[in-house]
Amino acid sequence: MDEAGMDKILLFAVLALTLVGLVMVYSSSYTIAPEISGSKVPSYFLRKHVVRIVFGFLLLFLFARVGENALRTLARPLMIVSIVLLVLTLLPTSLSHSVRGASRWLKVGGFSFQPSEVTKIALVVYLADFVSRRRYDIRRFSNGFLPAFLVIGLVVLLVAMEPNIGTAAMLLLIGLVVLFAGGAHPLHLSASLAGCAGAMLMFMRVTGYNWERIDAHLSSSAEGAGYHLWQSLIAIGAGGLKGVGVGMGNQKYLFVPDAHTDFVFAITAEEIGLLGMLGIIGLFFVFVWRGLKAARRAQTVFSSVMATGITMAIAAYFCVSAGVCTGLLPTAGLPMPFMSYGGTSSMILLASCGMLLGVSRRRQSFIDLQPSRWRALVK
Amino acid sequence: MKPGAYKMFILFAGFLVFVALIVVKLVDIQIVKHDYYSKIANQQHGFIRSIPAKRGSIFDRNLQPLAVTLPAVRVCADPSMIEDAGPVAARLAEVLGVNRRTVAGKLAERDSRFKLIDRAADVEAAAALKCLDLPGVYFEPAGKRVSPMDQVARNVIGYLSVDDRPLGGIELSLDDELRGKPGTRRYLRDALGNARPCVGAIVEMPVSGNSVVLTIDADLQAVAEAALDEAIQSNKGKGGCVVIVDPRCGDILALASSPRGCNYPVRTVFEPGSALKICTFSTGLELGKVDTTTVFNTNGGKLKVPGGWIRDDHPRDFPDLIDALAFSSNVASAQIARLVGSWEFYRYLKAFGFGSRTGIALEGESPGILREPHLWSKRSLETLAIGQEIGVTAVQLAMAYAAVANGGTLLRPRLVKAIIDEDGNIKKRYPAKAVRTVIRHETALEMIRLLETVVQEGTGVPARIEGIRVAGKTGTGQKAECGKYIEGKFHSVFAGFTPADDARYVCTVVVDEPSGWTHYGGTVCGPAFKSIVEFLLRREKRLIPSQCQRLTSLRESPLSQGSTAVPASGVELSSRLETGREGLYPSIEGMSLREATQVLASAGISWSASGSGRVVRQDPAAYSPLDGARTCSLTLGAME
Repeated sequence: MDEAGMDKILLFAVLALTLVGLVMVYSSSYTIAPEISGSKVPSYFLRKHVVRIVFGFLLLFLFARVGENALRTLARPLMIVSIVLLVLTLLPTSLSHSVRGASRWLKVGGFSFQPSEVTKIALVVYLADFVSRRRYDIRRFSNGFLPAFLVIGLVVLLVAMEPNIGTAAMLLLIGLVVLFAGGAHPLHLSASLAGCAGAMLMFMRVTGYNWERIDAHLSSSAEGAGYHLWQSLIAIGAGGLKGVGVGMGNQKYLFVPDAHTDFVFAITAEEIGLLGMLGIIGLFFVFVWRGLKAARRAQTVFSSVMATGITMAIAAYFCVSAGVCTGLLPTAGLPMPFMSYGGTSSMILLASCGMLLGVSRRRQSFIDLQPSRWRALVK
Repeated sequence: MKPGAYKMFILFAGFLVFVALIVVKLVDIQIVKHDYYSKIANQQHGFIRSIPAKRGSIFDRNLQPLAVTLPAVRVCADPSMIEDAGPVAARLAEVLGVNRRTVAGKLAERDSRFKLIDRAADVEAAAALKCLDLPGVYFEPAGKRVSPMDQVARNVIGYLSVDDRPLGGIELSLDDELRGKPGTRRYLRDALGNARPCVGAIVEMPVSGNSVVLTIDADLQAVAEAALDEAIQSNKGKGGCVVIVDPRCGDILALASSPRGCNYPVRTVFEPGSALKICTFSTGLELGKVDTTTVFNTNGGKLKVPGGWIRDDHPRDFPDLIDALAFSSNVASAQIARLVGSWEFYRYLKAFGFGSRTGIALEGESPGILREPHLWSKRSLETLAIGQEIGVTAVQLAMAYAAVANGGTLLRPRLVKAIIDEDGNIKKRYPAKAVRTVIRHETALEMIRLLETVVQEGTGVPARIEGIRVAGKTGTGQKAECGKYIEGKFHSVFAGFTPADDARYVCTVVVDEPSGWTHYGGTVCGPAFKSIVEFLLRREKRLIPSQCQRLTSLRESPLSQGSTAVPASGVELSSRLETGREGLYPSIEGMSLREATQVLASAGISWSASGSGRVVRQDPAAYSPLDGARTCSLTLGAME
């Protein structure tokens, strides 16, 4: 096993996105910090974000060093802990903590965090371990697909009950992507995806929760699309080609709700314009490209599947968040990777980037990639 | 099984497809619909506040300021931000000198976001307040209109309402020039509508208004106002006005009005009475129907007209043209009008500017009332000749007198001389404008002579001033309401000009409803005219003729001293005056009655006359020796 250094380009993309994110978190939050936090310091959110980023990078370098075996050992306990935490969130204990009618938070010793964020990485690692353990059975239904899908279904259901439909959908998507990468049968995947989508729509229709967002999205006119999206579109549109300048945006003055979290994409688009956005999209492109490359070059099934899962999870979050802000998708409160202010998600994100970089470190050498060796390895 | 390249490819392709969708969407929003969204964004982010423009000043003809805007500060309060209204109100009241309780009451309305504390506070007071840093009190630039001459010419200047809207006068009629163009400042706000803590960017600079230079002479205006007040007070009048015009260019030098606020001289329509006879006589002379030698048979001062009589107030037997005007013979005027005829007379009244607006730069000018002849009654011609059945404004009357005074040209009254910008550069001039030539120069000169006699020995004596030549005419018009004359309610008028031979000031004085011991125009308005001219005399020495000559009578000193051309008839008159010889009856045949009586009077001969026209026969005959009786009977008639 070659102890090659981690992928510098991938690391650069992570660093660049994090830095842009720092700037945008400050730019989008300084105007609303007094309104939301009650603190008079405009840099309130920036300060907290910097602390998380610093912790996040510590985690990143830590997980980049953690070996594959250690990760695989952790996979099942991590999954179990996640599920326990999700259940705790739902139970009306002193630990659970609800915001705006949704109990998504757990508060432990002064720190509050979202178990669903932890679940995200736990699910990827667990499923990567699962498919690598059952690499020969995975194409089957009862032995392979079904147990994995039941785990996915459990966490998705728990998250959906918080309620947090957006994240639940993302978990389902990530889980299925990991299973796809792990070799699950396309028929199983597509059938379950369709079934789950239908079930989720039914759930929303019946409970009424978030249904108006879907409804709003289906209505054709921009003005009728709901206040969030409308303000988001104004922000993006006002940005134009070159943007109004970093820090100069006007839409963050409470016009776009959740400017520093879910709609940071819109604020960024207003301030740096189309050209800047193409730059950011380019950075994500580089990240996904290098992430998948690391997955492809990974030595083991576990590493490869896990790297694919992490990369595609981040890619999916980016796509969905951008899609929500531009009106391609119905409004869902999902953070934008690297760019949004967020406690748990920022740290989990950087930790998973660390795992990804770790995979890139343990890549096969050029010789390892020779077809003969490749086939020999598979056998 | 390790994921194969094709799975990576599928996932990567899926990512790329979605990214491509996002890019397409971004291009659509940010490039294609950029203008649309920018516009909406601008609308919701900013709000425009106007920066008031400095209003231009109003100056008199000597650039003496009549109305200027001084910088001031608008003090406003946001009661919702004031915790404890008491001390704040006390401070505000103390510094601004406003009522503390009123302020406290305003501040107590905690629901309100805006209360006006002081519309135009002094800059110093506002600066002091700013230092106090009171919560919820803020300041906006404003202007304060002040009149350095106080109420002088208020009717001309007009005034501004509390919210700086022009109400009347030049402020209203030239508001477009004066008000300037307010600038705009754009402030940004957040979604809750609160102004963001930033200095608003100036979108557009305010443009200061231009200033107006009037033709008004503020000192003269003040004197005119004082004289008018005096005339109204001493005659217990209801109101009135004084108009002073420079007949050479039509400049309105003073436009006094009482009551002050209403523009009496251009709005109030009255019957000029005898003052209109200037038109009657001018028309008669102009058309050659009469001349200075014409003698009128006034039939003891009454004339039958359809539906009644026209009577003279100062009846004279056989007045000639000069006396007819001097003693304001209504009968003679009616006779002249008959000679002239309806349409001609109407044409001349129109030519003198009656019945149409003069075009003075003030709002609400009345055209007066002058009906066309086909609407006249059977006696309208005669009635019009004595200044009834016609409504005029004081300005119209003044311009008609100015037309005579300047030699026959009706001018457009000029109230605004020029518009100047902030730095004093002339932006626009208002040149003097002649409307039309009404009468020939010769006619005007004869009229001036006639009018001078009015003041020297006729009804206008109260306006006579020793040492200078004054011409003028009195008038007393009955007030009418609902088509009926009201007993005992009059308009007293005096219109005159000085110096008579080179008129520089035409002055019309009108007193509304004098209810003192008399209502005759000369007695009521003459003194006011006199005091105004006396002021001018003190101020301008050159009004006094170079050869300081005492003019007691036209007869003693005909127009030969005048700098203006001597009319032919005058030469004739003076040459004929010499025809008398000691001890003989003078030859007076061919003379007008006036000339004849002058000659006879100088020779100490009494006379009697019959008929009208010129002397066709005298008895005893010319050059017969004077006998003891020293009487001469004259037969008047038309000459061949």
